[in-house]
This record gives sequence, C-alpha cells and structure tokens, in this order.
Amino acid sequence: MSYYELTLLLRTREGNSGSKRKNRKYTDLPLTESAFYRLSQTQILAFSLGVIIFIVSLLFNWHATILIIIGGFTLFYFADMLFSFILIFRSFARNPEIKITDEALAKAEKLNHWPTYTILCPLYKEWQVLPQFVGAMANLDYPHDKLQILLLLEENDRKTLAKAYEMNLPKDMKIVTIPDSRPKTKPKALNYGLKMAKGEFLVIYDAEDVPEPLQLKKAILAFAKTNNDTVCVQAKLNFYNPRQNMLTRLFTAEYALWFDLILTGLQSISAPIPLGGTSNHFRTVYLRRLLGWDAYNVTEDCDLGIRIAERGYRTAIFDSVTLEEANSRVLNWFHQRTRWIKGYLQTYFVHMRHPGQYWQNGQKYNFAVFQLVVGGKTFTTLVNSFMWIVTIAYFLFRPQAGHLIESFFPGPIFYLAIFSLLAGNFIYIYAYMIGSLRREQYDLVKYAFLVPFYWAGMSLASWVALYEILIQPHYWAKTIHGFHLQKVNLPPAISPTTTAGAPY
Amino acid sequence: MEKLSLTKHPELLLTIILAILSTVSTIYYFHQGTILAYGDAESHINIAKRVVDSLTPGMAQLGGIWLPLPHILMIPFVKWDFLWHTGLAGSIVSGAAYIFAGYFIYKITNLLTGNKIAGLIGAFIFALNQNVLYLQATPMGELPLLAFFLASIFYLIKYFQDSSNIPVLIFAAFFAFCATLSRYDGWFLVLFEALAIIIFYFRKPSSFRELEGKLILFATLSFLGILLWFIWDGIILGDPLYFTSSPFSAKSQQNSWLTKGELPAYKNLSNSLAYYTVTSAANIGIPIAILSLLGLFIFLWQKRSMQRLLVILLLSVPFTFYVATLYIGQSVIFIPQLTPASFEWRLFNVRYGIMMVPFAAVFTAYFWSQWRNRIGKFVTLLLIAFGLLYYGLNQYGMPIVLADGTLGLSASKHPEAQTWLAGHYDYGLVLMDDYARTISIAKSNVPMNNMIYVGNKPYWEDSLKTPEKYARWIVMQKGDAIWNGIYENPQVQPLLYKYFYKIYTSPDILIFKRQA
Repeated sequence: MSYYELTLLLRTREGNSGSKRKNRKYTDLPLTESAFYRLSQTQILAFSLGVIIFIVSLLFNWHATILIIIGGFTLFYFADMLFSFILIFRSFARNPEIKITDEALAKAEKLNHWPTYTILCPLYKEWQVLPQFVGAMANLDYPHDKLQILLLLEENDRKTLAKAYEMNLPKDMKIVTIPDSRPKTKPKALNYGLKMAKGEFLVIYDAEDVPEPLQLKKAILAFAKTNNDTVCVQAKLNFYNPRQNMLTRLFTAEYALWFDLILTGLQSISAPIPLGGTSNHFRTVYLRRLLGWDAYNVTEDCDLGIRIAERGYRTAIFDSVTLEEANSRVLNWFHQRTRWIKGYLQTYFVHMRHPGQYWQNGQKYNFAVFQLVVGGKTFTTLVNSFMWIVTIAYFLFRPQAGHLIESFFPGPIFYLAIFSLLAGNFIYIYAYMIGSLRREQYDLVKYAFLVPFYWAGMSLASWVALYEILIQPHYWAKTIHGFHLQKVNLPPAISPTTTAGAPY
Repeated sequence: MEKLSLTKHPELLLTIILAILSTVSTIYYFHQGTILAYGDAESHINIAKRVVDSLTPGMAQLGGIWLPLPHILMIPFVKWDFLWHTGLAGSIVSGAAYIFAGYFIYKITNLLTGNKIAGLIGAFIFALNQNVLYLQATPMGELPLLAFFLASIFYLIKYFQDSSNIPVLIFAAFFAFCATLSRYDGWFLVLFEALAIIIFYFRKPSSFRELEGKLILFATLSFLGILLWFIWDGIILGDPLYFTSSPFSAKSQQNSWLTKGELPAYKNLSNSLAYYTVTSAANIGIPIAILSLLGLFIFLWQKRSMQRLLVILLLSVPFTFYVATLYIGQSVIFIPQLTPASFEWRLFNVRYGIMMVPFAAVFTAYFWSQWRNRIGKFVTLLLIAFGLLYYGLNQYGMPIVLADGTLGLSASKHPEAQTWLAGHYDYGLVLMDDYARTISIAKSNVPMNNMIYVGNKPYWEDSLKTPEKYARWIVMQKGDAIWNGIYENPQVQPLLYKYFYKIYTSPDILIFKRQA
C-alpha cells in the first residue's frame, strides 16, 4: 500500500486533520468494495503470475507466445463486434426504452399526486454555468413544493460559493457546503448530498445540464411502468452545442450511439447498464440500500450501474433527454476521456475481485456482459493502437516485415482478424451514423467517417489512463464547462440572462 | 397452443410450396444430368471448392473476376465431394435464393396491391417459370442476385411509404450490398436505388439535410461491396480494375466477338433494345409479358405518383443494365430470332432475360388484382396458366435457358478426353489450364487438391518452366496456356518429352503422363 493510500485510509477511518467536520464518512461502501484499492491481494497475485508466465513463455518460445496473444486479441475483437452488432440490432428490434405518452402524462396530471423529489447538483469551480443551471431548474415542470434541489459545493471552491450566495436562488434550491476533504470527487459530494436527501426519488444533474422540463414526471411514470426491482431509470444525454466544432460533432454522434443504441440494447437483454454521469433517477430508499456511490471511483456512475445489476436490481432507459455541453476543446476532452477510461478500469478491477460470486449468485450471464461492456470496451480501446500500428506497419514495410507479421496470423486467425477489422470498424462507423439519424441530426451523419481519428484520441487517452491508475488513481481531472456560452444560443427558457429574476 | 393455420399464414404456405418446387425441380434436372450443363456452372462450383480443397486453399481462390458472394455461400457445401461433383452444392444456394426471391415477389406485390392473393399469384408466376425452375437447380449466380435484388427493392419501397423507418432503409442497403457482391448487375441496382432516394427527396427541397443523412446511410453500406471488390482486386491481383481489364474479363471476351464482327448490339441502341426485349420475352413467355405490360399501364394510369414511378424504375433496373451493357459492348446475347444465321453461334447468354421475370410477375399479378369481377379474374388466371405453359419465341422443346446450356455457346464441353482421364487417372498432380475449360474437373475423377491451375501461383509458374517439378499428369488443349507455354515452347518442350510420355491424343487435346 502506498503512503498516499495509507494516508487516505487513515483519514477516512479515523480522521487526522484535526477538524471535526473532516471526520465525516463520505462513503458507506466498505473499502473492499470500492476503488480505494486498485487491486485486491488475490488480483495482485494473479496479475504477477500472469506477467511471470508471459515472460517465461516469451523466453521459451516468443513466436508462439505472441501468436497466442494475437489469437486471443482477435477472438476478443470478434466477440466484441458480434456483441455490439447484437445490441444495435436488438435496440431496433425491441425498441426497449420506456416511452411516456402525452396521454399518460395528461392522466397523471389529473391525479396531481407527485412524490417528493431530490435533485443533487455537485458543482466544482463551475460558477460560470450556475445561472444556466438555475434557469434549467426553474424550467422544470414539477410542483416546486415537492422539490428539494441541493447545490453541492466544495468548501474550498470559494468563488462558486460566493457566486451562489450572491444569486437570488429560488426557495427550493439549497446550498450545501461540503467540508474540505479528500478525495475531491463528485461521488463524495453526492454521498454527502444523499445523507440530506428527503425526496422519495432522487436525480443527479451536472451544473451544465439542461433537462427536458417534463423529465421528472416522465421518470415517475417510467418507474410506475416497471417492477420494483428497477431502482434506476436513466434519461438519455445529448448536447446543446453539437455543431460548435468538429470535436463536438463527433462527441454528439458518439453519445447518440451510446445512449440510443448501446444502452437501449443492453436494456433489451436485461444486462447491467453503466450509468451516464447525470440524469440517473433513483428510488432513494434503494440507492441508500446500495450504499450510494463509491467516493474513490472516478466513474462512480459506471460502478453504481454494475453494482445495481450485481445486487439483482435493474436499470431502464426512458425516453427523455438532458442536454449537456459537449466538450469543445481537445485537451479538455482528452482529460475527461482519460478519467472515464481510468474509471472503467477501476470499476473492472473492483467488480473482478470476487468473480466467483457471479456464479454463486446465478449471474453468469451478467458476468459475460460485464466482461464485454466494461472490460472489453476498455481493453479494445487500449489494444486498438497496437493493432493499428501492426496493420499500418504491414502495408508500409511489407517487403521487410510482411512475412514476420503474416506468421502471427495463421489461417483461421487471419480470416477472423480481417473480418473483425473490416466488419468491426464498419459496424461501428455505421452505428455512429444510425445514432445520429435516430436523433434526426442528419448533418452529423457524414462526420462518422472521421470517427477513426476520434478513436485514435481515445486510444491515446486509454494509455494515459493506465498510467494514471498507477500514479494517481483517485485524481479527478475536472472537466471545464462553459466554453459554449459565447458561441451557442440556448433556448430562451434556459438562457442565463433570463434567470436572474426567477419567479420563485 | 394455437394451431398454425397455413391459410392464415400465406407466407408460410408459400415458403413450403416454393421449397417443394425447388426440390422437385432440382431432383428432375439432377436425373437429367443438366445441373452442370453450363460451362460457367462448373466454374462457379470449382471456385468455391478451391477455397477449401486446393493445393493452395484460401479465400484468394475466389479470384478477381466473378463476384464472390455466391461462391462464398457454396463453401459450406462443396466440402462434400458428392455435392461438388454433382453441382448440388450450388443447387442448394440457388434453391434457397429461389425461395427467398419468390417470397419477396409476394411481399412486393402485396405491398403494391394490398392483396395477399395477388401476392401469391405474383410469386407463383415467378416460381413456375420454367427457366427460373431450371436455373434455380444450378450453381449459376442469377438466383442469388435476384433474391438480394428483390429484397433490397422491397425494403426501399417500404421506406418510400414511411421514411421515418430507418431499419428498412438499412435492410435495403444491406441486401443491395449483397447484390453488388453477387453479380455486376447489382452495381447498377445500387446506383438506381441511390438515384431513387434522391428523386424521392427532391420534391421537398426543405428536407435536403434529411436527404444528405439518409443517402449517406444508404450508400455507405450499399456501395461498400463495390469498394471492397476494388480493394480485393488491388490486394490479391495487384490491379483494382482487374475484373474489367484482365484477359479473363467479360470485356476481353467481348473484344474477340467484336473483331469477328459478331457484336450486333455494340453502339447500336435499337439493336440493344431489341436484343434485350426479345430475350426478356423469351424468358418470361409472350402471354405473360403482354399481361404484365397491361398491368404496368394500369399501374401508371390509375395514379401517376412519384412513388409509382420509383417502383417501375427499380423493377426495371435489369432492363436498363443489360441494354446499356449490350450497347457499350460489355455483354453479348445471341438469340435465334435476331442473330443472323451467318454467325458462328445463335444461342448465347439468353438467361440474362430471366432478370425481368420478377417485373413481369409483379405487374401481371397487379393486372389480375385490378379486375372487379370474378370472370375477369378467372380469365386472367387462365391466361397466366396458359402463359406458364406456352412461351412462344422458343423452338427448342425445352426451357430456352436450358437450351442455351445444352445446345448453345454456354454449354460445357464434354470431350472424349474427359471420359478417358476419368477412367485412367490413378494419383498425382494434374497440370491443366482450367480457364480454357479443357475438360470438366468435377467429372474427371481428379480430386481438386491434385489440380495445378493458374490460381495455384507458385506451382503453376514453376510447372510452366519445369513441368516435371510437381505434375504427374499434363492435360493441354490447342491454344491454351500449357500448349503455348510448354508444348510449343522450344525451351520447355524437351523437358516434357524427357519426363513425360504422351498417353492420350485427340485433334485438340493431348494428355501426358510422367514416365515411370
């Protein structure tokens, strides 16, 4: 255990800073179930054993070792491609997302019996988008006497705190100051907020979010349409600045694919759904039973989604959209992506500590899906760059290295690899197009051809994520928001300029 | 559990009947020994066989001239020598395609008429066509193309009826993709489908963005097969345009006709139109061709909508394709009604006309559906039945497509040398120029992986320089690559006589065997 981890552990268990406030426990999850540790002792042992076997095999027969590894990669790519194809197909065939009709809404309006709702909004150094968020909350079509909106602000973020106190916030919006403590992560803030939550239902919005005004009502009706084991419904995310630049266009196409095809596909096979960072609506009592978020996981959303499935609960996607800000700056995007991939790695390691449990709990199927969705997506992102280099090297240096590279791809592996390369890349590019079309963002379809460059960025981010997980596993690279404010015209109802005198 | 009623599920009933028709027809032609009547039929099945059984097996054996999908579909079946020798591996693929095509004719007709019985009539006009029944028993590529072509058109018409339905647009693109990898006619199909999508949106200038998105979605998948074929030819054969520029291409073959002055439709539009019209009528049969034209006129007369024009545009793609390729000299048809008696051959490639049978089936069924009274419907049915029996334009006493395969230039050759080799071959590798179709490999008793041909590159090239290196047998035909490269090559000929002796002689074919 590193000194850093030891310090964190001591702080969490006993507190050592001298401040009473800092003694509060910010996660109810046992550390053994959190990303506090990178790997369990068994995992360290297994990993070390794997490395030793690899080195010995290389020394014994390097060619066969590399051939077996490439064969394994190829099989995995093929499985991943097949799985993604099935998800996309089922997403169309089943159309599983919960749809709330106008009639159902009108009927519920007549009953006028809406439950209490808590909205958690963690903010950190995001004072620029605060007026926009206040506007978006004011715009929500929900009885405001049933709403509890908690702005979760960090004690050391003085500027946002000052700005928030300066604003004429509505009555249902309360500022909660989170004592200065480590880790400085969003899930820690959310856990703090969860302890104060009074609503029967609870949702998380990021500061830059603009949810559809009817989203809370739709979420209630979506819950009503499901069984009690559905403890979370996830709204779909989209962007209000998709055409700001090339990066936002590709990011938008990616979100369309993820939320409209992959997640709905996962829902159609009742598989674990890695939650999106915002607009997850919970039955609060179940969220507490699940012990909230993992304060040490930098993609706490993904982790919670998997934990929901592990405990036998479900997540469903419902037909409502929250608009966010698409990252428009490359470096900012890169940091965000690095964090996401690092979080997926953390989640994978956490939930692989006791893989036998999946068998004991009768969740073999969820185990396989978990391998493909969380493990597989991360793994392929990492390995992609290596495979691209091999492919490019083959064509560039065919006379010199052609025979050597070919020797690693004997018959069946070669055909499987070629098929996966062509069909796999095509299916993904095509899926980006379908996602954009489904959202009627027709002009974005053509940009799907540029997605390979986007993947290259993702692959690079994955290697940085791997480095970070070794050096600073709990570091939360804050995504900076507000770059759109000068460039994008938001709808008048949520424009920051119209919220100063919010009518409540 | 609810009992499955065939009358309530006409699709199921139709599929069963089509499967029975396909099986009976295949058994009939199997017993007649005409499944591999076409020279091309055996070449198709050999290509598939070489992928799994060859001196150099692998996907590269698919070659770069004929489009690969029908061969790929045969691969699971050709592994069994019985299915290869008999050609049944290809019959299975064509038979399945026949059922698929019949099913989609039903669906298209049903979509246009809203009448399931009309759909069944359309399907049976296609399914009972004698030329179709013969071709579906062979390994030829027409039936797979028809199946993909019809499926793609069906989904595109559905899309035109509801343009918010993205999955049907993807299905249309997917089947078009399959069509582009089945026969070159499919390339024309995707062009016309893309054109139809543009026309469909052209009426609404406000939806340009939608057109852009949907057209890209459609074209990305449907044109992918063409792109892959260019890449394949580039990687495997070193020339992306190998399929059109190689000495084995259709263009090269047509050039030889041109030099003989026997390419009557070349740069002659009226001849091109006449040749394909007569060939189509010979395949469809005169009575049904007339009924379908009446149906077409009524279809247009009732409502001259853009959607109807698009349906006609799509179903008549083969007509446009063949007229265009005849005109530019990329294809050739000989048919006795038009081909001068002075020509060397007067029956060749008449099977191209089969591509218009679905057009005739759909519009004849449409014609039937428009009768309000039973007598009209009954008389039309009688005319259809008559049309299925009487074709006109055919003096051969057998389906004209079969006549082409047995009497025309398309027929495979069965020289005496083939029978001789089948009786005398013992073991060892056989060097033969398969492109010259000297003898039928499938009927010669030689296992495919004992053949050395141009596709086994290292073996082939070495054998032309040092024939004794691998081969125990050498089969050559006057003028083929082996005749020119070994027999008539003064540098190599001494090796031939040093290591081999002539064991079979005929005016055109010589067979050599390795000396003991």
